[in-house]
Amino acid sequence: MTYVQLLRLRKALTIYAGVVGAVFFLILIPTHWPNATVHNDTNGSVPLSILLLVGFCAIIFGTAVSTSLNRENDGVEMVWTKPIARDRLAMRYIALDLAAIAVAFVVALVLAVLVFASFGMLGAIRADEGWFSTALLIFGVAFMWYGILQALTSWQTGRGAIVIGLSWATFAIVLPAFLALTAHIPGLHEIAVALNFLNPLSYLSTNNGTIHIGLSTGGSSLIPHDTWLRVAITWAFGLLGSVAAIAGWKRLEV
Amino acid sequence: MNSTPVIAIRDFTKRYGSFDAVSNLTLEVEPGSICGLLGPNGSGKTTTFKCLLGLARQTAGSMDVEGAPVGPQTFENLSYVPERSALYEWLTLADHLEFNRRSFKNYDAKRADELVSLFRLERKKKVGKLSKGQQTAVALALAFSIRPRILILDEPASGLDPVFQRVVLDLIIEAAAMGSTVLFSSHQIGQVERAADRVAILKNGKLIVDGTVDSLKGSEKVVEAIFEQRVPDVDGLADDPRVRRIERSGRILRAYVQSDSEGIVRRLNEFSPKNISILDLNLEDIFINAVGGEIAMAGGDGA
Repeated sequence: MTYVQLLRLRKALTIYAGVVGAVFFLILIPTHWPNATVHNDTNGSVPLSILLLVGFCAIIFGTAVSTSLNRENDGVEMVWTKPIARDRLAMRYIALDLAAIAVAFVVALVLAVLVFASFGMLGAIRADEGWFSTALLIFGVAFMWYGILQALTSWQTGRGAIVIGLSWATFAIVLPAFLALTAHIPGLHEIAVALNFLNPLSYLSTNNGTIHIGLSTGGSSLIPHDTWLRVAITWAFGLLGSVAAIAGWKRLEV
Repeated sequence: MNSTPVIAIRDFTKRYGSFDAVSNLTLEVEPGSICGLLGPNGSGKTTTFKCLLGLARQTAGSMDVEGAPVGPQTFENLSYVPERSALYEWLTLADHLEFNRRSFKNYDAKRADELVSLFRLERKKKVGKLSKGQQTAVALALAFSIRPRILILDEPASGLDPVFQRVVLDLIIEAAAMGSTVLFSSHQIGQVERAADRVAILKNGKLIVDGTVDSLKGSEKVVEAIFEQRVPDVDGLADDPRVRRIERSGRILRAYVQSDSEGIVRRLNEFSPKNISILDLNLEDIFINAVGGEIAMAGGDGA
C-alpha cells in the first residue's frame, strides 16, 4: 500500500544525496586547491559540528517530505480505495518518512565524515559525552517540524509547498525576530516567548553558545536548558503533530 | 428481485451548507446486474459515488455495500474509476500496476496484461504524458485487473474514442456476465441503454426515474405526426389524460402517450398529417422527458 510513498521517498533521497554531495564536493575544491591550508580550530567539538551540519541537512529534508499526506489529497481516491484503513496507511507513511529522515541524517553524516577524512582529520572525530542526546535532539527538531507541517496540511488539498516555505520564514526569521524586537515590551514579549516554544529551531539554541541558530532569545524562554528535556519535548511535539495529522487526514472529504 | 442487493442506498442525503447536493435517494443494485446512473451535470451522481465509497460523508441515510457500510476490506473486491483522474502523473503504467499488485490479493497479472494490450497502452510512459482518454484507459485497466465483484465507474468512457468506448462497454457487460455488480454513470445514453439492466435518473439531487430499461421503455409510446405545413392547433390534446406531454418542432408534433396510442393516432389523423407513426421510447427520450425538455430541446417548441 505504501509503494508509491516508497518511490516518492527514494526519488527525494536521491535528489537530496546529489545536492548534499555536490555541496560537500564544492567545499572540498577550495580546501584541496594547491597551496590551500586547513586549520583545525574546532577546539575538540568536531562531533558537535558534524552533528549540527548533518542535522541541518536532515531538517531540510524532513520539511521537504513533511507534507506526504497532503500530497495524496489531490487524487486521494487512489489510496483510499485500497483495502487498508486510512489511519494505518497514514501511520505507515509517517513511519516511512521518519525512516527517510534518518537515512538523510546518515547520508549527510557519512558525507561529512568523508570531508573531514579528506583533511586528514578523521582522528579528530571522537564521540563526546553528549553526542547521543544531541543527535536525538536534532532528529527531534526535524520530527517536531515534520509533525507541525503534517498537522497543518494533511486535512487540506494543495498548498503543501506554500506551507513548507512559510514555515521556514516563520521559524527561522519571523519568530526569532519577534522575540528579539519585543524583548523590552511587556505583554508582547510573553506572547513571543510562548510562540517560540512552538518553534523547532529554538530547541537548537543553547545557553552555552555551542549551538546557536536564529536570533537571541533576548531574555526569558520557555525552552528548558536540559538537552534530554528538549529531546522529550521535540519528540512529543512530533508525535502530537503526527497524531493530529492522521486525525485531520481521516476527516478529509473529497 | 428476491436477492439481497449488493449496493443499498437508503434515504441518502448529502448537504453542503444549505445546498442539498442529493436528497432522499434510495437505490438498490442487485447482484450481477448493471445499473446506469444518469443525470445532467451537477445532478449528484459523483457525490453519490463518493459518499457510497466513504470519500465523503453523507448527511443522512445509509449506504451499504454487500450488507455493510464500506470499510477497508470492501475494497479487496471493489474497483472504482473516478470521473477525474486520480492517477500519479509522475509514475508509469508499470508503476501503477505494481502498486495494484502489492495492494490487492486478487490482482491478476495475466488479466492486467490483456487489458494493457486491449487498450494499447505503453507500460513505460509516464501517466502525465498520456492523453485524457489514455489515462481513462489506465484507470480502467487497473480497475478490471483485480477482477472485482463490484465496479463503480464514474464516466468510464470519458475521453475515449468510439472504438474504446465500445471496448469499455464490452468489459462492463462481460464483468456482469461473470457475476460482478456494476454501478456506472455516463453521459453516453446509448451506452447505458446497451449495457444497463436498470436505469436511475437524477435531477437536482433527486431520483426522478428508476426502473429496468425494458419497463421504462414500455411505459410510454411516442406518436409522431409530420404535417405538410406548420403543426395545427389540436384542441385539448395537451390536457388529454392519455397524453403526458407533447412537443412541437416545426412541422413535427410528438405526443408522449401513456395509454391508447391508437386512439391518439385516430385523433391526429383528423388533421390529415403527411405521415404518422407510433414509436417506442428509447432511453434518450426517457432521459429528456425526465430531466426536462428545455435542456435537450433547445430551439424546439416544447409544449
